[in-house]
Amino acid sequence: MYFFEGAGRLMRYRRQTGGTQEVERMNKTEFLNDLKKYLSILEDREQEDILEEYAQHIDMKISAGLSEEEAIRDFGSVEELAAQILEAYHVNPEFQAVKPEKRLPDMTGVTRKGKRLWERAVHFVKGTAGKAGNLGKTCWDKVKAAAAGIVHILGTPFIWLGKRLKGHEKLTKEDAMAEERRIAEKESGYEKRGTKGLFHSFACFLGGIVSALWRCFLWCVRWGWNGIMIAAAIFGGFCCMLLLFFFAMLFVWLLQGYPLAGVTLACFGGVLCAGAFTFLCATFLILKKKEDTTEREEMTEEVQHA
Amino acid sequence: MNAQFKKGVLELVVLESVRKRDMYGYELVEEVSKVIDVNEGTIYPLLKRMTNERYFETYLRESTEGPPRKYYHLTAAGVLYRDSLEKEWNEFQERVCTFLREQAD
Repeated sequence: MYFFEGAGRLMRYRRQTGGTQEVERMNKTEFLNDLKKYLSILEDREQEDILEEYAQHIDMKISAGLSEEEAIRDFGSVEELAAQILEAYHVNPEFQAVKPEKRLPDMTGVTRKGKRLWERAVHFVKGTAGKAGNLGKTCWDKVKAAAAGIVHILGTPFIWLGKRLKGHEKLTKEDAMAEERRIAEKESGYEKRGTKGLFHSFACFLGGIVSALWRCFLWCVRWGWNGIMIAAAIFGGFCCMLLLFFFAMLFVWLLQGYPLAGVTLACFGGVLCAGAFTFLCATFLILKKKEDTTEREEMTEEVQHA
Repeated sequence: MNAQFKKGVLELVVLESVRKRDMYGYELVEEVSKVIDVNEGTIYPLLKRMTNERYFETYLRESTEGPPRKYYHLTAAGVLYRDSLEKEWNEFQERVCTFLREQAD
């Protein structure tokens, strides 16, 4: 039956949207702006046409002696009114009713939430990575310091003994170092200088061996670690290149119409993953150059001060 | 009065009002309000729809007060539609009446 068709549709719509809504108090421009928001799906010309008609109607009611608010209140809820207008254009009113008012704020909420989550995640990752890096660095430094201490403790008696035997008691540290080096260079020369010289050279020799062993050990550890990391980085880089190749191939196939979107996406993910892994491995490399240069700089500064 | 009843006959009342003479929106709302107590906001969408369906033609005419008014004029298609609606309404109304009478007996 034709008569109740439209009405039925409207009632259904009303039930879905929660029925009677409180009509807000608003003035003419607010009402028209609100209405325009709901009608944004229509052509500009049509929108203007509709809004003009309602504006005229309100004006006429005002000139008939009603207040602006009363004239607008008679229209009822803007949302329902807009729904009826859109129905006249065979537009599903729910589509429009939901879109400007509810869906958009939800989306912005979600994106805002997502953004916040992302920021937090980034902060967390940065923080933990930084902490891990710092921890590793401090650990490495401590190990180095401890080892240096052990070497010092192990080596000092010999050096001290050597100094004592040779009669250099009032040597400064630097002098001692220089002396040590000289001694190490001319080690063989001391062998024939009696028991005193022999013992001294032996002590120096032992100290040198210990420190050399330690340096060797450090070097081995460092380059063992670096080797593992370089190997991992090379492996990651290789995987990255391979996946990139596959990705390009899959992409071409995808463009030709094969249903490979998922695989291509997965491959792209793999490329990123492998790349990130390579980069990560590269950051774990322990390079001594920097420390050396800083030390050298400090030395030169000291020299300049002196 | 039942809101759905109102909705159903609103089109017919609007068509009939405009058939007598061309009217502009506000005038038409007042005219229809004499017969059916209806939310005036709902008449504009109806006019819009029936204009889109070519039952009405619109034209602007200057008024002595305020901006030019948009007048609605019933087209031939509109007249035919009005007649078919009237027929439908009469049949429907008759059938409901007979049904009610039969039930009462």
